[in-house]
Amino acid sequence: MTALQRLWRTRIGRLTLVIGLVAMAQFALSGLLSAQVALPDAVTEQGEDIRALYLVIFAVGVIVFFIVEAMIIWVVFRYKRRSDDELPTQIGHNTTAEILWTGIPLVIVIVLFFASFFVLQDVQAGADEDDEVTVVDVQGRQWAWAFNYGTPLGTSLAEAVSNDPAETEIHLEDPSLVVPFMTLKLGIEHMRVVARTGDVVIVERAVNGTVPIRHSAGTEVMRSFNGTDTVAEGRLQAADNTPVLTVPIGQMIRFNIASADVLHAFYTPQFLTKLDAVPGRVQTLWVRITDPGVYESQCAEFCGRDHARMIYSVRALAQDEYDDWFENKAGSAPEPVEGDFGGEQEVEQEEGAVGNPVNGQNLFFAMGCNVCHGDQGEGLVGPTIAMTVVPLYRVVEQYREPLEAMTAFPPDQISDEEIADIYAWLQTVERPPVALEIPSKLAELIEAGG
Amino acid sequence: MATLAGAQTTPYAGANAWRVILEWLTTVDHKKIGIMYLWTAGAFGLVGMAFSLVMRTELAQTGTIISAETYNSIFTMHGSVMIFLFLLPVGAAFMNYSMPLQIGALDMAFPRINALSFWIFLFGGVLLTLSFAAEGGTASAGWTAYPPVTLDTASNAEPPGAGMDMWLVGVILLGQASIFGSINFLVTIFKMRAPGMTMWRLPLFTWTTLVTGLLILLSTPVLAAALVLGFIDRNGAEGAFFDPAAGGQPLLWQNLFWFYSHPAVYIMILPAMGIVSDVFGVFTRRPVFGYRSMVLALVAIGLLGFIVWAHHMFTTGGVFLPFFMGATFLIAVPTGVKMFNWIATMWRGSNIFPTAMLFSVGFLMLFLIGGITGVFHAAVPVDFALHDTYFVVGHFHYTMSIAATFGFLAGCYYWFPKMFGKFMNEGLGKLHFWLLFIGVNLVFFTQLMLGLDGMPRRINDYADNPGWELMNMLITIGAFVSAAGMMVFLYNVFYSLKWGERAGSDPWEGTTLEWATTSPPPAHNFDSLPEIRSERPLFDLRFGERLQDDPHYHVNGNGHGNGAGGVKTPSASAREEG
Ligand code: HEM
Ligand SMILES: [Cu+2]
Ligand SMILES: [Cu+2]
Repeated sequence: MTALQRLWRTRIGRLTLVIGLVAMAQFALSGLLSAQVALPDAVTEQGEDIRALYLVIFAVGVIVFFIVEAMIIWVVFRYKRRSDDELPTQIGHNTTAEILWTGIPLVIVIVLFFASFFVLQDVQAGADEDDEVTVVDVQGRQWAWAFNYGTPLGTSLAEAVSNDPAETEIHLEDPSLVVPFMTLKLGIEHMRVVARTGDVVIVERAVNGTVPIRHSAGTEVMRSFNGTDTVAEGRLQAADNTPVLTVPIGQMIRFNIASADVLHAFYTPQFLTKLDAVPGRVQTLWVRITDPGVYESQCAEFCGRDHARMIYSVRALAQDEYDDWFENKAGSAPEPVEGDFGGEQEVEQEEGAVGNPVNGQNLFFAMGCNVCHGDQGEGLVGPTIAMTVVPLYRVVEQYREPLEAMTAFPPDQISDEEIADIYAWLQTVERPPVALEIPSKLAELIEAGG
Repeated sequence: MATLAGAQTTPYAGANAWRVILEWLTTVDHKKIGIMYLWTAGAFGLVGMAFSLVMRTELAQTGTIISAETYNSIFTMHGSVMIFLFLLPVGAAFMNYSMPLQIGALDMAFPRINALSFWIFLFGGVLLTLSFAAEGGTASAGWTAYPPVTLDTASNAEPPGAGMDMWLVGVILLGQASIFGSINFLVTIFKMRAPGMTMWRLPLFTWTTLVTGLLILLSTPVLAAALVLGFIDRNGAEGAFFDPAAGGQPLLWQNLFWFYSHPAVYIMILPAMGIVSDVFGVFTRRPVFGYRSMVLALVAIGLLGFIVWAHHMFTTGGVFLPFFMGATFLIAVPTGVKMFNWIATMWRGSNIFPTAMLFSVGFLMLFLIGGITGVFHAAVPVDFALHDTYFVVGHFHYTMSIAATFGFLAGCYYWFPKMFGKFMNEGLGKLHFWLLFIGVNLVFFTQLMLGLDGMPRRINDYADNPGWELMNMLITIGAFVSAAGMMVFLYNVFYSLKWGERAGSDPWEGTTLEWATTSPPPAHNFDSLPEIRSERPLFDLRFGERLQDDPHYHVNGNGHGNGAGGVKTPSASAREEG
């Protein structure tokens, strides 16, 4: 007789065996799945708070689950009808019990409410006065991301807005946060940025919170600052031209989240948080990243056909590496896409995966693209394509099966790689301001300034 | 419909098939309308299930089999069909069929409007289905259809085609059918109760019908408003309501939509709760524990249900978070009360476990997980992490989708003998239960874990992260196991219609009035009614005498009757004259 059989004989032994077996099965299953029953570790301060709150709720949830589940299983197995004419007790209520099982859950949820409330305050607190702050504009587009690296807090448009509703010109020390045709909701007021030149931003203000109707078709949102990283075709696997968002660790980072078209959501799983990109609004998400690394991320609000491919990665660098990268980017004139990532080792780039802009420029003229789109891609008969934010694969589609009057270019005339070259070059040419439909007042300003 | 007509013993014996079909097409009998709802909704449910299998086949591994457009269309139609064409009408089916019987009424208050709402529902459903043939395919922005991606505006890269309009119009029609139905339910309950059937003696299923009717009536017009605005936005206004480029507000849609759709999740789950309450009462031979607190909890859930809509919008940055967080947490309390009352009903009960009872116990287990995961979402910071991931997919399936489905399946097994005069096969029923129970847990528990790991919902392909392929494969296997369970059910339905064991008028020793008439009941429902002194008139009839000395047995019912004892019921013929 084995030890197991002996154990099986006693009641307690049987119970231990059964529980042991069930527990083992559980662990085997979760091991098999490398399963999460908790949120993954966070790489931000705020995320750690959220994870702690999660664990509290998880603990409460697990306890409640096992108690109630045990009660269900108990009543199912314990109370069975033994004979056909058996009549059970007709107790129909019990005030004490009912008060208990109303009161205890009530207390639990009140406690959880306050715990969640304080964590919420914490994660939304933003920067303290003595915090160093990095500001990044994030703009979702079908199906691309634009990242725009700004300056320390204090120069953002929000704080420079005058209270005079008639005022339409706003002077900013550094207007790099401002994207033409972005609509802002500040307090209860809406305004739309019409354009900017130098440090002057022209806005349209709305009375009663509505923005005058204006279609921005044809004048795509421009990436205004040469620190904007490549906007590329989102892919499921992080690859050569996944949009990369570079940020420092240690500082408070303020993401200004906006959308150029439909809803998107900024979601980096390791931050344990997300915020929707709602067209017509600019919203703020604060994080302080604690761990350097590359974090794969993805749009989390359904945004149309290629929602699943709208990925990006966040690259968190140590402060000095970030400073180098930023200097490099801010100081340089438009440069080839290639060297644009600051050459940090975290991002593995495949050799030659990004187009060659020099070759691209030659091809642009050789193929005669300039005839319709202008020598700088600024748009003539055809639309403006300089610094296009249309993802590469859609540009390729346009070559093969053009939507509008453009001539089709089959692969034997121009290969996918060559299109990528042209695409790369187009990213380097600054989009000339004349391509914007701008009010005459602004045109004057530009004239005067230029 | 010919099959079911054949199974029904009609008073017109010997009538030819055409006559029978015509009779069903023109019927205003609440029982026939209920059965038609059941068949149509069941068929749509199978279609919705087929869509889920397509999705799961696509997601079993990384890489794609169908295009992104197709996937988006399929998940949208899966959600829309399941909600608008399966869960809501299945609820309507049972409310139509059973509620008038439970209160001893001859029919609904407005039988013709009742028929009208069925036909509007069918038309709306057909319109949604036909959108597969529309240019550009069906709607493809999820069952929530958040603009501006649904709009035909300049900034939207791939504006949807006519399918989106068909979706909007279809759902408007379905909403209209719901509104008609709800008014009918409410008036019937308020005005058509048999003598002695006071409010505190209503069976719990009837109570859920009442609260559901109120929720439908108060919330559906708001959805209709949103849908009309959406339609205008797409056809002429160029987004003036919902597209900011034209001065609109995308969040306005979300507020309007959820002002309906949060109550809608209760519209779907409450009737299921009512069914399991009745089932527990019958198969334990006990009064449902805390009858009054059950009713109060229902009402509390209904009221709170109207002030939590923005918990679907925590990550939009556009709502006042603490308020909606608090209200959402509070809903856990009345929900918990119901859970404990159900368990207490089985406690010291004389319990038997036919399939209807198994599904009710299954309902408790699934709903428990759904409720607990709901608390995770209520905590706003945690929701920031989990929103729009597979965690939320797991959560809402555990509650409104699969728990509600279990409740309705319990209803099928429970009322099938009443509807068709035959039992469903118990062996097949148990096989069905176990396949489905194991399958859905495999699907939805794994989805919870996948969501914790950060997999977003509504994607047709996913990154090759560690563990994701394995989890997705398990989900797919679970989906097929569940589908196998449903095939067993389908077979059981047809098998039992044809060869099922005959059931008498009261095969389960029921407690409520629907069991006081023949199976199936005559067109006028009752020839005579027993005395109604409590919420369990048939139980009183059967055991009242034996329990005379039991101090816990309340002659006037567990709602403590409204003072006076039972009123002698006049015969049905007298009521027909009156
Ligand atoms: C075993 C059966 C089922 C399986 C395997 C299943 C599977 C799925 C999956 C994988 C999704 C996510 C789609 C995505 O985000 O890409 C989904 C969404 C959904 N399911 Fe189910 N489902 C099942 C049953 C049900 C039932 C019974 C209902 C309701 C009655 C339901 C209602 C929904 C809804 C409303 C959505 C959301 C659709 C959207 O995102 O717009 N499902 N289902
Ligand atoms: Cu998206
Ligand atoms: Cu809700």
